[in-house]
Amino acid sequence: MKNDRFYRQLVLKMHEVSVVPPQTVGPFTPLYKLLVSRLKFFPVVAILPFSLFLIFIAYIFFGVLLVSLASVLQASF
Amino acid sequence: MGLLKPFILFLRNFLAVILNPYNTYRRISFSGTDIRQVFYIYVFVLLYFLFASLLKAGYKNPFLLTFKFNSLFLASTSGFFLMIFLFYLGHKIYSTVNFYPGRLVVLWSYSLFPTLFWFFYTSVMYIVLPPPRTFSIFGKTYSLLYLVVSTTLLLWKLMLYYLTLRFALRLDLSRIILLTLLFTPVIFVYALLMYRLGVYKIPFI
Repeated sequence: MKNDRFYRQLVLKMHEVSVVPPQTVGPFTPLYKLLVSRLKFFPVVAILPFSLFLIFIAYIFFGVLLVSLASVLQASF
Repeated sequence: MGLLKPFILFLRNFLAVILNPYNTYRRISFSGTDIRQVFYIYVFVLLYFLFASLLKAGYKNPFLLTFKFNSLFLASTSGFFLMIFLFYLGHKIYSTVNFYPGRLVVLWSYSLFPTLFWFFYTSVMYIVLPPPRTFSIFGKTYSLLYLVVSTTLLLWKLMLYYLTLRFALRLDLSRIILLTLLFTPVIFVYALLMYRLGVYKIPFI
């Protein structure tokens, strides 16, 4: 059994998956798991709409100040 | 041939960090790390510094160009080692596993991609549509889109920072948050210093 290639790969994968214990955040664990599951694969798909939402909210609060911020950032490289 | 294997590793991990960062960071941290792969990341970093130096200092004055390039290179190198030192302190405070500098260097180097993307994006847009932005509808729209892209890259960077601490030091979320609170003033002082020295306004970390 120990010489079986598939078995050895499976054991290695199991070790890799359990390299850190699962993260828990008390009563918020289900919510945390839900959020993290969306970030594990191609996170840009989840992050981009969130950024859009953040900037929209920021625009409501700060208005055209964001235009000045963009100008400052664009000259900051 | 000696650099071919790390190059293939680099290409594979580069795409995987975009598509599947969690599993990629876990795999890199687990399966032993070929530190030579970070060489290709720094090739891109150096190319960016060359591009930024040309953009800022022009090519007519070689002294200014060399000075700008060297200052960017030295500042980013010091920033990189500062972060590694901070992570080492974090390991000393909280971590219970052995410290593998190679693993940390590889994981943190891959987290430079969002930084590099942002700096390239900002520099290119600086040429295409130089600031300042106007308050017209086009100016506002462009500014908001620019900020959306910047926020996306920042969040991606924060995610890779979290994954670096999670898998290089095997820390949990609460300890990562506590360490981040500890690191933030140091990074702020570093950013302020770089700003005062005139190297960059946003630190290349």
